[in-house]
Amino acid sequence: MEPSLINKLRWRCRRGMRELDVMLVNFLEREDTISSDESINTFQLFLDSSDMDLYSWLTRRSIPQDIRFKKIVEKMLFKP
Amino acid sequence: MPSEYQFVEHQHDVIVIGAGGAGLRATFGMAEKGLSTACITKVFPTRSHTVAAQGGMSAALGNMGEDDWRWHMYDTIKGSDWLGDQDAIEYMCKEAIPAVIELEHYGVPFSRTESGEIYQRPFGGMTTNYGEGTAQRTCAAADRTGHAILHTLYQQSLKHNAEFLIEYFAVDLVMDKDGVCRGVIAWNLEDGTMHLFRAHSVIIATGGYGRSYFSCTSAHTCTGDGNGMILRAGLPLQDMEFTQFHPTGIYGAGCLITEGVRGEGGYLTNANGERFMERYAPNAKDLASRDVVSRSMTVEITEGRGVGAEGDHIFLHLEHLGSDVINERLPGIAESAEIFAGVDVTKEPIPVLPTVHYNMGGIPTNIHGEVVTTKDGNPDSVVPGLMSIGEAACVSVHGANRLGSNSLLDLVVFGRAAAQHCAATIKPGEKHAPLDNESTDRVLSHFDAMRYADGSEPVAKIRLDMQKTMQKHAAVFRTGELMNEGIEKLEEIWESFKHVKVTDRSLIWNTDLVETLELENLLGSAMTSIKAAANREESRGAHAREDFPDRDDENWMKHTLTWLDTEGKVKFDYRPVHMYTLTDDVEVVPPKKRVY
Repeated sequence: MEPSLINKLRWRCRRGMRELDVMLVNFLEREDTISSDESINTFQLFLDSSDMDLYSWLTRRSIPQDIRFKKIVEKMLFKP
Repeated sequence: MPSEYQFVEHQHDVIVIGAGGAGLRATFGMAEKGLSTACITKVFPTRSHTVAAQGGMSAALGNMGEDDWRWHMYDTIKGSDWLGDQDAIEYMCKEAIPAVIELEHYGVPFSRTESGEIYQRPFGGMTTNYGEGTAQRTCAAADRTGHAILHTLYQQSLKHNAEFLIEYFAVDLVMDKDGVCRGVIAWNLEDGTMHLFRAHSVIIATGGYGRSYFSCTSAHTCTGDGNGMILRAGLPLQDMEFTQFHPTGIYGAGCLITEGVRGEGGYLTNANGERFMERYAPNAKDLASRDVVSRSMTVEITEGRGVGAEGDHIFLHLEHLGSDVINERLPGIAESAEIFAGVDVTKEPIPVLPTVHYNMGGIPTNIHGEVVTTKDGNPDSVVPGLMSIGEAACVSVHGANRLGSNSLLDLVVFGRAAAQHCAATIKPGEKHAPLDNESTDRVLSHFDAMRYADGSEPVAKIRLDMQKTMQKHAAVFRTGELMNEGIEKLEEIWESFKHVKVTDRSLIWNTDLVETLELENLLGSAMTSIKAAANREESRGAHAREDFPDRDDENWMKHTLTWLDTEGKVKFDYRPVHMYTLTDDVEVVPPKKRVY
């Protein structure tokens, strides 16, 4: 994996709300997030969502329609 | 100039740095007036921290009962603890009304009353008839006011052909030898190119510097970049000692737990399990005002009764309320606590600590947004070509303490004022003065030195040292001794930054270097802030000192100016508080004790 691509994703985890910064960066640092081209591409698309949508999904106020995003949200909120 | 950099030159009438509420309002306003306008922003515009402002924006529209901008002005002056400039406050409260109506026309979806007018809610500190009644003055677009304003202003800016340079990091101002601002140099994070933006006016709208502290509610992006640029340009910052705290930010994450939690019976305990607020506020207890609760918590921590491995926070209990009450009356709290603190609020307490919420200080400006400094005895000397608006600026309308819902107002009113001023003073397409290489070389040499910094100290370590020092020594509980200890530590940290290690030498998505440049900006804000706080020997608004518990109008009713040199030394000067109004429409509010 290109280090610059990870850094680009890291930068795009920078959001307008601290809650989102914290959750997105934590997720980026998990191994399975960036394990394949597909998971990286999906996460990039996920990061294109608006802050309001992300906040709503990640505080369980709504569920994303895109099934791939739904899976990301479930992973982010899953506590073993 | 280090020759390896590709250097692209752009010419515009005006450049705005930052695309939060203030930057976008200015960008749109100037583009609308036909000025060639570019907005440089390090993150995508609708991801600016303004998005987190959910509460609303105050304006005495009188939709919910009688209201008057003079009452709003009185509240703001009192809230500021008489450090706010009364001419600027008059301007803000008066212009609030057309500014909100304009936003409505541009498409901000404000919540409405049954009769179709903008709905207004009450907010702390907002009164009618000079403190007698409760005002309903705050206009909101549900719980997403900040988002709605950003979105609308971004669309309007695009419609008027403003140019956006997104994911560009503004490195430094280009100042000529006469002290005139001629433009700004920015770095394109995506392709690594360097850009010189020439402009007749550069408008700094870079927001606050909450990240100087360990616990802040601000997003990671709030690194006071504009403050850093001002200090490196040899210009002063104003009133940096005034920082607003919220008592209950989640430990480590900084996310806010609303005051409503304590209203519903939540309470705080220390390491001994004691409900300590009973000692500090026997009547109000956990429901005492924000600053009292924050200060009590900090005393507990400082005296060794904090909780956790490092004894550096406090517990907030809801367990006794039961899950029905929690879910019914405090929606979202259980989710926030679980997600951001890993806590089940029905079984265990939430770790919290007083958390930085807003920076009242910043770049001194007049009511047009023009940056001012003291020069040859003139306290209002304008720095040509340079303006600032929003949380980055200090007009000063918030003085020593900001009222809720006055921040979105500040962004919009002064973003608009800056646009009007540029439209009145700059002719579209005016020719740019020639620029000597010296002024750009200075910037690029500094950038290059940072890029190749090859010391031993990682950025993350220096940043954490700074944040912990500010949190311990320049937070809510302030004494000369504590702050002077903090200054010593911060000076060591300043020294350690000279030995910073940047590991990535590339120019493409080099977040290591960006964070180093941001840390330099944060350090400048931190240093001026703690030194200004130790220097001000009185208590006023958010600056509360145990060793000087009273406000001292005779000696300290003045704005602090701080200049910073490369060794971390601070030079002080002062500007008078404007105890006069802008027009004869209203009278000066003379100082009295601030009691609620």
